[in-house]
Amino acid sequence: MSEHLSEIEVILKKSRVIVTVGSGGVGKTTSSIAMALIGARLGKKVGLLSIDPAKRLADALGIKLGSELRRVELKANIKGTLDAAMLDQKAVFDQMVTRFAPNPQVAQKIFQNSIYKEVSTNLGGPLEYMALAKLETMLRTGGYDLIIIDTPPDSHALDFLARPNILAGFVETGVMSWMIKPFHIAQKLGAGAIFKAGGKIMGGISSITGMKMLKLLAEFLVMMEDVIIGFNRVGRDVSIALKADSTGFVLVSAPYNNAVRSAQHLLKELKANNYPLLALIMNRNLPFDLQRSIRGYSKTGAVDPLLTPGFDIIASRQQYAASLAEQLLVKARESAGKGVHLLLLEEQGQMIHSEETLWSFADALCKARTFGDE
Amino acid sequence: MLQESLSELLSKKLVFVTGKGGIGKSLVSSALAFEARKLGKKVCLVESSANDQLAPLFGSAPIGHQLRELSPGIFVINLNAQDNFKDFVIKHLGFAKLFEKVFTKPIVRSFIQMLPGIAELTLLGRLFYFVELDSENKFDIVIVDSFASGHFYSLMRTPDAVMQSGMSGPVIEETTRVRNFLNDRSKVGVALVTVPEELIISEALDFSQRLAKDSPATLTTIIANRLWPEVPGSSRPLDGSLEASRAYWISQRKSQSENLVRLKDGIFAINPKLPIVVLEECGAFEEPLAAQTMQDWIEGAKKL
Repeated sequence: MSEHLSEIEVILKKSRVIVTVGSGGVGKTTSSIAMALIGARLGKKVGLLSIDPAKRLADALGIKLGSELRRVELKANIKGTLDAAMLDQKAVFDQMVTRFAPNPQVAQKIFQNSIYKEVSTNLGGPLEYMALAKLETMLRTGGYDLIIIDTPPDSHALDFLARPNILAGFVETGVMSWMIKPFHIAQKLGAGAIFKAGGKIMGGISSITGMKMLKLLAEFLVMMEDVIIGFNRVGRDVSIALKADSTGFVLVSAPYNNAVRSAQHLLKELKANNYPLLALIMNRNLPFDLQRSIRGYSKTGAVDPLLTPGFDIIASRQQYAASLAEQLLVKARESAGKGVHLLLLEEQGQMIHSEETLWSFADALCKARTFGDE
Repeated sequence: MLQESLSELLSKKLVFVTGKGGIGKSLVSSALAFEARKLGKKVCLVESSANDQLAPLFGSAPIGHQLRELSPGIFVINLNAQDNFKDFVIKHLGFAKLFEKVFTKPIVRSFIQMLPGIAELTLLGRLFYFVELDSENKFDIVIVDSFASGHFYSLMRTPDAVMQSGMSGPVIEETTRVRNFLNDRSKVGVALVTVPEELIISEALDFSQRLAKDSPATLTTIIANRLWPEVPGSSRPLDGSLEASRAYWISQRKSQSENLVRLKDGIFAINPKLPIVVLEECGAFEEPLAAQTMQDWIEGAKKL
């Protein structure tokens, strides 16, 4: 490899934790994997954590969806290593319960609680939260020079970084003890005591959801008390780790209106949380050759009118993409400083479904054009 | 003339528009709203997103949990979970006093967030309200610029999940009502937006299958968006550099045609009667959207 490192290589070389954010459908997971591969090629021990697992990409690297980090056996001969986990919600949730429950009996009871079953399989929030827990484990047990986290695909990816605080609030406002106390009593004295201990509020809620639901929920909370406190500690540790200097954010976008709007929204959130932005990646641009080609076209030119429908589409897409890229870069530099670059990648002609195609995407990322340099 | 399967869609009282992220759900929802308006309907366009997608399309200030008339006859609202819960308890369950006494307390609000499925349930409840119970506004059609497919599937699974959750009382009665409503094909429709790309078509087929199996609301039509125009058979020669542009157009069209065949075969295997329409690629739409442009675009839909 030559001594001259590309923009993305420089960033990967100096970072310990990189969080990728972006809206759905912009190639965020693919970009995260490509960065992990580049990091490994630079000789780093890389850990990749995807909370937005795409089965196709997992298959491409022979990764099983689950909760465990596994070594990825790469065909390419490189200096570093890559471990990856594509998180499956229930598996991670179960693992956390096992870790924090006071004893195996309580863990078993939690697994059987119907609210737990519902929460652990159907809710999006906990998965994101669990990912933080996984990250904490990775940071704590060490062994990684570079950790890349691929966040959930919506525009509120940063909610998930704020989650430790939500949970902290939950414990601190006393919800836990308020909820749990009457039920500790109830477990001793029978359900009727709930109303006495919980007063009007309990009665109020139960008049809407029914008693059984309340009992289940309380049972759930009582059992989860230790687990939630454990989560909370993990969350705080992760928050601290994310504020550390060696953590940075890479924002992935695409030349579509809504993707750029989401990106701008994320920029604001990053700024508000004091999270450093390292780079912007804009995927799915028209091929650079095509962009050069279409510049020769103008509606008034000597082109056969039969060809205008298709050419108009290309021309308007190119124009739009350029103005969106500029708009995004201006905003990014306003909030994160002049040093931030926007890396432009061409749309991928082939489907990414193998290690080879992922490597060619990684190479494209290294060779990406920086917006403004033509 | 509006394509037949789209007129069927617009004959419903409630229309969900879903599909993978970033493929034109909001544009299709807005175009359907403009078209419904043209048919003389009073339209309510709904989104439920902290990151408002509709406001910029209408050139408006951010849309909140308050109905606003953004274009004559088109009302827009952005529903959020907390206000949904409040409306649900007060307007559906009729517990206004209880709400004031109990649910305004911060402690209870935290507690409510713990209830599984509550955000989804109350959102469905609100939609049911707008369609069936809102005697003040009396909308003819409610169009929901809905969640991406995975989340939409969870939304549709919520009523059954709640009914099996061990709750009882008013919530279950209300959920049963909402579920029966969603199951009424004459009133509720679902449009799945997709684009003719290999991966996205695979996901659309997978989603259609799961929805057909598990959801009370059923697919009404599949909308394949962004189809490039046909490449003319012959034309005057081009100067050298423009050949690359024509070659790109030809290759796009070719791969799209292959993917449309896959979509057609796949959907036929799931439900032979489910119609597929294609909408043409337009490059980019100017914002704010013009009613005429959107109507022309949606009326240009062709049956596959």
